[in-house]
Amino acid sequence: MIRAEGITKRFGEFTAVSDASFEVGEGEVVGFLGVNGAGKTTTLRVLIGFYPATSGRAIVAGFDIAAESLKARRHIGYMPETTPMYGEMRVSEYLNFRASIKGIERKRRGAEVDRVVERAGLKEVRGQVIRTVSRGYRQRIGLADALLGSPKVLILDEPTSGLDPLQRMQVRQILREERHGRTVLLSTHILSEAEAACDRIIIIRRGRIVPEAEVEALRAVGMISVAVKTGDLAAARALLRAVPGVAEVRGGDVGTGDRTQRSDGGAGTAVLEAIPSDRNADLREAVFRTFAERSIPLLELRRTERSLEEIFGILTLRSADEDKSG
Amino acid sequence: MRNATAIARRELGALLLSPASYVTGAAFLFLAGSRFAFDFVRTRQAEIRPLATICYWLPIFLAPLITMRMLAEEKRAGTFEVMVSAPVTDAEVVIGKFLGALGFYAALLLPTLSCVAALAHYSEGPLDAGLIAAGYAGILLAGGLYLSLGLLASSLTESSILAAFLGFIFCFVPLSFDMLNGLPEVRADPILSDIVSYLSLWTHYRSFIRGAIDTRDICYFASMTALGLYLAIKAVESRRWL
Repeated sequence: MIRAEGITKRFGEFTAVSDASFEVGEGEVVGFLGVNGAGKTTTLRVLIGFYPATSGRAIVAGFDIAAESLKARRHIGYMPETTPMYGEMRVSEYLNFRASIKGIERKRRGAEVDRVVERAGLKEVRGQVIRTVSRGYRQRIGLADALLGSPKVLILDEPTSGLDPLQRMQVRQILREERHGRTVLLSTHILSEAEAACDRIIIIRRGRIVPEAEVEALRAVGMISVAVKTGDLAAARALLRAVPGVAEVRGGDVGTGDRTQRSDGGAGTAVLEAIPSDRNADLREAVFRTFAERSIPLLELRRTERSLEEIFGILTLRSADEDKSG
Repeated sequence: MRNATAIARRELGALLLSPASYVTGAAFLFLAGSRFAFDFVRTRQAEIRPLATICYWLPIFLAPLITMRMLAEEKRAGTFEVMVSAPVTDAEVVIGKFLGALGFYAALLLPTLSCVAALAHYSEGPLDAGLIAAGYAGILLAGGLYLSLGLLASSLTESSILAAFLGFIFCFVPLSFDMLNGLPEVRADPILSDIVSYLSLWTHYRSFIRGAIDTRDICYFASMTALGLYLAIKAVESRRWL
């Protein structure tokens, strides 16, 4: 478990992280998002005990990382963004060295290295000198290192950065398999990655954690996506616009998302999007009744949410606006 | 201490795998061996003094070259961050690196035993094993002091080149007291002269060359080396003070 309680980290006059509070429970995989310079790496470094917070405290695996740093670090597997390692060592040598300083007993060390080599798919390169392996393998060596000793907490900084889609999928698979009974906090700037791999997202903006409620509010715009079978697109749009509570209708026009396909003579499928005036209102039933009364077949009716990418974009723009306004 | 041993083994392995180490080591052995051979031919004296003398000042240049990357490069490359994410203390990291460097220095001294073999071959009587052992003890203790100062320099920067340069300066400090001791102004003040004399590396080193192992000299080297390591540990810990 990770609990950050009002962490602030200042470097002289510069505040890198301000009053950050969040919690990641056991068995959870949580994504930690933020643009470059938002304070992600600083927060992660405080959580691994690299340096202490200026104020506030962090509890990792049940130990205060500042007061009981060694005890806490026994339960942390950490992978930094650039996966720095000793290039002159062989992969298995390096993992053996890491296992020894992580306090894994000599008699268990060989088996543990074998386990993480197998888990991270490093069999082919285990005897190779690290400086000669590809970027993808380096990432996997970093991940294997983090997994050594089966730590309760995994803190991974950009674990899939620089990997191709297949390698990303493999890393995601490893995380899925290793998550049981663990707490995983991973920072990433690949938003699709965060959505695919994480149960929950924490966003940090200008050193401050964006409240979860704000993210949820941004996510839940209450938009209704409707796929109707119709030959008269304009009438369908007008009908949807007339549903009480609908503020705006999108889609249907060429160039603005017209996805009408004429497949059976007169009638085709049109996908329309209705924006409600109240984002919390659920208009699905009203839309369904309206179209059913006119006997217009509804092929699909769903409430959609903003993608993480959109939310992230909005928050980033807000940051830029705040910068401009001083 | 288990962690320090693991780190020492890794450092020693890295030094033994580095071509730069061999270049540096070869230069050191060439200079030490040449000086020894030159003095031996000139004086025909079967003594270890020429070797010990060169090992008094040559490590000023050698030690910083051995230690320059040890902390500076780790910090620059980020491996230090990975290292201390494990349950390892900063003191274990510094001591482990020091032991690795000392192990390499000791390994570098092994070929100089050929000088002892030459002495044994050409000397008329039996060699004084105690004198030679004391000489080597002095060489190792002085080497340890220089390496701790080199490590201190490496802990203060992320640039290996700057670490080497700082290391040369730091290593020169214990030698400079010997020069200061020669100044008439210092000699005129008995208290100051005593202090400078105590701080001078040569004062303690020459006892070993003469074959005398004195606890006070061992204390000097141990305390100065410990001071260098302590300051290096504090410099590494300074990231927590920001």
